[in-house]
Amino acid sequence: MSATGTELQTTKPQLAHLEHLEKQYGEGEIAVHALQDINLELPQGEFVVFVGPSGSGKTTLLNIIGGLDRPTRGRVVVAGRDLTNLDEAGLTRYRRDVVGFIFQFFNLVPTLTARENVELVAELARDPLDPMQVLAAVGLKDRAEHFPATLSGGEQQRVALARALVKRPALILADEPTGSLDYETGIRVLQVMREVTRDMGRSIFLVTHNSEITRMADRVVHLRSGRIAEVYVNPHPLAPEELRW
Amino acid sequence: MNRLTLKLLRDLIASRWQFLAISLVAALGVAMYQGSMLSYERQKTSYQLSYDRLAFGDVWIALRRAPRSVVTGIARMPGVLAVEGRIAQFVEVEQKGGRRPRVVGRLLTLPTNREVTINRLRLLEGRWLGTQSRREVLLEASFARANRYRPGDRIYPKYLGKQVTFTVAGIVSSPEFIYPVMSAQFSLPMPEVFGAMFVPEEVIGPMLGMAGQINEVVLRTVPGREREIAAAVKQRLNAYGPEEPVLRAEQPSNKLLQSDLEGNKPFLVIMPMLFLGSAALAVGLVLARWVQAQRGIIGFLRASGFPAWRILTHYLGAGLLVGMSGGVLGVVLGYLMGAWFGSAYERVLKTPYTTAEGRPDIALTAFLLSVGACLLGAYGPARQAARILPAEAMRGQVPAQPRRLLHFRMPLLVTIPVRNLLRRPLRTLGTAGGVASAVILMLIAGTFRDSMEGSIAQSLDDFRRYDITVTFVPERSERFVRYISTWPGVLRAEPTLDIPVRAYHAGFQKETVVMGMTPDTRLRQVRGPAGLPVLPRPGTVLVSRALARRLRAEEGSLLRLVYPQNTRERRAVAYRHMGAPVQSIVGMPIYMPMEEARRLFASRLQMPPDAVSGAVLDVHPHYLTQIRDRLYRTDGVGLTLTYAELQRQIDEVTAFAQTFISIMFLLGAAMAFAVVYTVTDIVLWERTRELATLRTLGFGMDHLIRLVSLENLLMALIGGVIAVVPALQIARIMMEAASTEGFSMQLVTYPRSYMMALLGTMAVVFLAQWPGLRRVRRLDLAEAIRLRE
Ligand SMILES: Nc1ncnc2c1ncn2[C@@H]1O[C@H](COP(=O)(O)OP(=O)(O)O)[C@@H](O)[C@H]1O
Ligand SMILES: [Mg+2]
Repeated sequence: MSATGTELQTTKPQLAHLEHLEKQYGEGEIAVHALQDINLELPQGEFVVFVGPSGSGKTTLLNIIGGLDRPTRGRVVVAGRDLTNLDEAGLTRYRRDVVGFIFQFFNLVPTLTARENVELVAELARDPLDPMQVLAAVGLKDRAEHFPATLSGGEQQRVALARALVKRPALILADEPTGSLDYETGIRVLQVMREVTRDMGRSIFLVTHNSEITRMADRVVHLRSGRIAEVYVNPHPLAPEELRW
Repeated sequence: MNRLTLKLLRDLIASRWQFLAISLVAALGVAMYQGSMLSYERQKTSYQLSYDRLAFGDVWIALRRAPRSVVTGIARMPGVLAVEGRIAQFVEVEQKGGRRPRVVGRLLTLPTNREVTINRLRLLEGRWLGTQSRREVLLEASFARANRYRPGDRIYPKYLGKQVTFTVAGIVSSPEFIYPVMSAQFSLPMPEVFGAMFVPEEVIGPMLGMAGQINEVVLRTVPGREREIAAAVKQRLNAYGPEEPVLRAEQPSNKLLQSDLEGNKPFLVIMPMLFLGSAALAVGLVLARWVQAQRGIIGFLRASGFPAWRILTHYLGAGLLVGMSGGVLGVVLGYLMGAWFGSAYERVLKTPYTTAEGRPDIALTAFLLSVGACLLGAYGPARQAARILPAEAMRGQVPAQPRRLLHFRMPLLVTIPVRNLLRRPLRTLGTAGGVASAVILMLIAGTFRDSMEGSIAQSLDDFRRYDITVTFVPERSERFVRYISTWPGVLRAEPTLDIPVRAYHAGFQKETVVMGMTPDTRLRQVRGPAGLPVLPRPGTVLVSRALARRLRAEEGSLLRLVYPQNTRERRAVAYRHMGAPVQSIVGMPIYMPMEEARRLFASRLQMPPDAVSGAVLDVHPHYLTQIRDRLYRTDGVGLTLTYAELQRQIDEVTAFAQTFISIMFLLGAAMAFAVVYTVTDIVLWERTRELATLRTLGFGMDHLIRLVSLENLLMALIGGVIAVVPALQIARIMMEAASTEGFSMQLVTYPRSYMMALLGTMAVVFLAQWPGLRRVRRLDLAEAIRLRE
């Protein structure tokens, strides 16, 4: 069952709206069209998976939605904010208030404990959650006082998740969050992401080249060569533990 | 505590050795600044304080003689605040009690019925002169100390063959003799052979046949009008044979003090700057590595909504903390150093009133200098960090841009280090710069030590040609020298003629001395530019390099030479072209053919036609004391100095500088160690992964050690090569600025200093790489290649 993005209007309130989005790196002969004519409507509260082969523009798209990068052309509106109109300070505020990031390389501060890593971000937020509660929610209550070097990769990625969640973002952006993890740890991280965001009513946009992960998504966006190949709603998302790769 | 701050502190603790080393370098810079600035300012303030409290004179005018009553008239002249008339007379002074048998005294009269209003004294020991006309004397402190006088001791001035017994009433310090020199022609303190002696005017006047008369007028004037008032007073005294007035700036002691102070000035600036500059460089290098390693975290922070300025301040914060810790440590060290400098100075000079004020402003400046330097060093990396794009967090570690690498046909063990150095040329240059700054410091210190040693050795070598130097008071005829040459044990006696002059050129002037040179001199030789003995050609003079520099004169310049005590009846002025500058370490003499010196000066100053002012003697060692004692007993012999005594004098004036230089050398070595350790360790941190990878490929630790050592030693070599030219330039600038009226060094760097600087640095580099290498050995290989830092 599939449909184009524009046909997929739902009654849920809208979270992100992308219109004729283009991203071009470089000029002239060496120009790379990383994204071309992207149009998307994404509602709130969904687990959206962006999937596509390496180099298809997934990271570029996620960066633009997250306010890390600007489109060459087109419009991006997230949570009612038109990112194309924001200046550098506006984008910084947007990142602070609206989105939370998780990266393939966990990018934890090695000289801060798990709890302190979460607090680092909590201090930035206007109305943060209790860092300890978030750590408990991702299953790391006992590991809160550990430094990253003594945590496993999966645990580190869960700290990163807690760090993204603590400031109550409307949207979590995860770029290959399982890319550095083995299968079991990856599944565990996906489980936690799924549960916690569902409990807290957060949206997740997850980028991966692993098509198996699409089976747990509410909605799947297929990218190929910088264009949207396909968007569909998954009527029966699987639980993460049912995934195999 | 803010978590970002917490991160900063933990990061600093994780790199504690590097930052401690940098803090130490900054602290040494701060300490140098604070220590030398504090002692500089304290000295300056002490002189001023002494001058103010003791009403130091503004103008001195020597006369042939005048009735004391002229003073009353001068006192009423406009602009004259106070005036004193006194008798000032050089005399031979006999000593007993195991002291040197004869010294030169400057008798200066004091009123006993009132307090003197100008050039007051500070009583250190004993009591003031009594009001009855007793034969009592107050001795200047440095002379009293050098000759072990206590109140109650006897001393025996002679005048016109008459020896008189005086009792030491007290020991005093005087603003006129803080730097105890006889006259402007002398530039070394000589408290062993010269002393100022203050005596009651009622006693001395009659003794010298000058009852009711004076031969010197001292003035205090309205500030800023000294020269004009001095001229008016001289005019008024015209009938009494006045000499050129001496203003405060030319007063011998004051002038030497000021010149000493100014000579220290380059140290106040250049040395601290070198240290602080190195600290800044090291901070920059360490933080650049941090930023490189933390790109992902910085990207994450930016992606999470931390604004760029917080990233900037985060890394500036590291500089701030290092600067602050260096500043605090440095201020404490500097305070101790200042106190130590002060006491070292006080051992040489007796300043009547000294101050030990704390000068919080200097401490604050010193502290801020450290903070400023470290912030400056941190600024580059911090700005780079703030510019990192948040998208950076998405990427793995960016490998350095592979440049077009040169291809070498060399073993891999050479190729890898060379390529590593070439891969990031700017970085290599920065690191080599860090090493270079250490080498520069050690080279400068080494050069100073060599120049000091070399200069002292040379001047002593010049002195060594004769065993005894004799000064006659007043001038005699050459027959007298011939007579001395017949004494048993005297191998050779050469006449000398030293005449005080003021040399003028291009608007600059300097009080110095013309020395007459006999063509066949063997004992008092002058060295030309090539270090070989030279003689002034007829019609020309030879001038020491320091004097030429002072007068902005060069070979061929026309100098005007004026006898400073010119009066209407006795005057001498000469014009002479200058030959190639000659080397002279002590003082700034002008050498002239003996015959011309007699014609141009001696005869016009009513001296005997074949005048000699002294002699230099070469004596048989067995007869040395016998001849010295015979000289002491001979009338008309003022000063007698043996080679050993000269050596002691030079040692005394240079002792402070020598200690200072040794300390500088030690600090330079300490800094070299800290800087080199820091940069070497950084290089190793950056290589950790690469080295671990090489180990997984089967390279043994011995291979890696060779690889790393070669790279680091190459770096040290580059640093050493970069360092040589700036080091010598800085040393030259400092040395020129540091040469004082008394002592001008010539620049020498012995090969041993180059060797020590280079080998020292290489040794430190070699040692400094061990902690890093141990880290590589201990690394869990699997972890190392998988995880990024
Ligand atoms: N900063 C950049 N400069 C130039 N080209 C880039 C840059 N970032 C990405 N690209 C190019 O854009 C395309 C899409 O990249 P990316 O979004 O990273 O793909 P994905 O995440 O799907 O692997 C690729 O061809 C990539 O080479
Ligand atoms: Mg990607």
